[in-house]
Amino acid sequence: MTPLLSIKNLHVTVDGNEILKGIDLEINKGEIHAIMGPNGSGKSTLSYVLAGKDGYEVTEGEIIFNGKNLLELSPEDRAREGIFLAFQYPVEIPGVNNIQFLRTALNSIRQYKGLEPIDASEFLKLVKEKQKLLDLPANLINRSLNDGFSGGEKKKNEIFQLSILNPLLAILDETDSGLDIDALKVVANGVNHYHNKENAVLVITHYQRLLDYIVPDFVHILYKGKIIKSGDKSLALELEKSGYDAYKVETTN
Amino acid sequence: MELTTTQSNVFLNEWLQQIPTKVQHIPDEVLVDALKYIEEQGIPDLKNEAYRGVPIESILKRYFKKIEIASKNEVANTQVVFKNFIVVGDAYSALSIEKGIRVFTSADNIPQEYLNWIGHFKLHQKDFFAALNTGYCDKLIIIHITETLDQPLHLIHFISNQGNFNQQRVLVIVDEQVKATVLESYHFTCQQSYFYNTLSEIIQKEHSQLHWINVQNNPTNTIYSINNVSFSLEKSAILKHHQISLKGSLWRNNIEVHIQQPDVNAEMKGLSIGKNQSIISQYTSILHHSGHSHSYQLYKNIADDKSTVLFNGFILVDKNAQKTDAYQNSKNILLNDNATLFARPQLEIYADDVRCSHGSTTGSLNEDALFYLKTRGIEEKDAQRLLLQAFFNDIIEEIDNADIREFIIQQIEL
Repeated sequence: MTPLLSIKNLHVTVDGNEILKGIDLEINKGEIHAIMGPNGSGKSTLSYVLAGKDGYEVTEGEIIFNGKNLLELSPEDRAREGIFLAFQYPVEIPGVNNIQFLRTALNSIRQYKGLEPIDASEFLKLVKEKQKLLDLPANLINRSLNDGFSGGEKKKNEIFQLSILNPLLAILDETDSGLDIDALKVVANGVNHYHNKENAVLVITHYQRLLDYIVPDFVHILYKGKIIKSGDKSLALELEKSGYDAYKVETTN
Repeated sequence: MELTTTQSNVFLNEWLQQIPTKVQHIPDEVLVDALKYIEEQGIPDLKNEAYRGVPIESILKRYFKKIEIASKNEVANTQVVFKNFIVVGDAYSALSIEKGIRVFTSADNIPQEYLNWIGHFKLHQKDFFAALNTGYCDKLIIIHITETLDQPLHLIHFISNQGNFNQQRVLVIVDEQVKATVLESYHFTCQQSYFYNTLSEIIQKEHSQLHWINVQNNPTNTIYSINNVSFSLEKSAILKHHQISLKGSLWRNNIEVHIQQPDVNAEMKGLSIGKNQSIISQYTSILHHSGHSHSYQLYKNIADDKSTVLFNGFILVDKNAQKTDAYQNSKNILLNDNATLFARPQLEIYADDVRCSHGSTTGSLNEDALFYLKTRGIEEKDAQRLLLQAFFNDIIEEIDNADIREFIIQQIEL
């Protein structure tokens, strides 16, 4: 089976500093992967490179997504091919209506795939269904995009967008940060609801806490720009007990 | 220095000779003052602070050395939004009005009570083009609104495909307690460069409410317009003013508001979108002659391509205008490194018990917001459009009349 995402020997430089120093990662459809690592290990850099943010220079290596060379695509085309990044810090955009924005996004993706724009009543039905799933008040989703949302509401709104746009690969960049336990459960429930054997999830996190609710098939430890260890979900539990230091030593040796 | 002045006067004198002078309706002393101002001040040159960024002298010398006055035309295919309309400019004054509006043109025998208002606010002693209009314009229309209007009045400036020069003067009187909305717009059939010099004097009586919306858009970018406007507000009058300036070679608006008596509310909003090589210059003056009044200004400016967008906002609070509350803000977005934006607040406050605040911000579109929208599959251009609409939404939303909002939205190209 061809992997959905295949990252080979990825080196990335930001402002002249090499942040990622040779990442190899394969994700198949139906899988959930978690990347864990301390601050500054390159977790967010990896998510931004996948989404196509300016200023992240790939100096070596390749990323193949669903058979396409991802690095040749613009951020909008990556999204249309099925990449979705749930931001660690979702941007507040006053004046852009949440629902209108989402409909524009969905139709833009549908157009790329050669589909007709979604009709208004079908879209409304979809919105209502997902809104309930994520426990989002109606007045919130009709407001300006993330404008004045609490931290928890912003993260829920990211997963709300994920469930409506229904991409092939969901990248969750520290979606658990700033969430209380109830919100965490709602967010995890949203992700689990989205996940099926035709798509994949990449969870980027500091803590194992989220992984109690979104259970990964594979866990990778990222340290100083390299994946230093991979394993199953027990690796996350081990890491929680021993901390990152134990693994840092392992690499030095 | 002397040589330059003389040369300049030679051009001006030759230029003026091409304009027919059969001005009849201007009071004698106003006419004398205007002609004197023209002679003494001359065409604003590069050193003229009020016309900074607007090279009007070279525009006139380059494109309008030879003046051709259009003959009056039949109006063709004018986009009339409302049943109530008056067409001015290069047209027979075509009109259709309901009861509650009285109209006089220069051809009519105009009652003296109206003529007394002509030049009353002395625009002709502040601006060269106001003086030019006063001294050399034979086209006057007087609109007297005597009753509250059921629907807006559409004032259309028709610019034909003949000639290259015209002037129009408008006097509007809104009676006590009367509520009215006026949409002012421009209709072009011209492909040639055209100089249009307008002057409007608007008198609002006590407790009147006027919403004036001026929409300037010339898709062929051939118009050079100078528009002098003066509003005079009596006790408890409410003015809402929207200035929308889009495509065109030059849109210069001198907008002056005289707060004559207490308890006045003047709310001024503007949207300017500069494209291509357009010059848009909004020059506002809010003059608080009397206290206990409120003025609010919010101007949003976008400069793209090689355009120049200028905002100059002047607030004057006279010595006896205590308890004045004046606010001014301009927000500016630069979309292209080749475009120019310039915003300048000017405050002169002589009273001590007032609240005055002003602010101005300039920047480009938020890169993080653009990226966020793109990661959701939205095209760069669409993402930019969404953000720009978000930027100026609060200007358009404020317009209660849905037909006028639609009229404006249709014309905005991003």
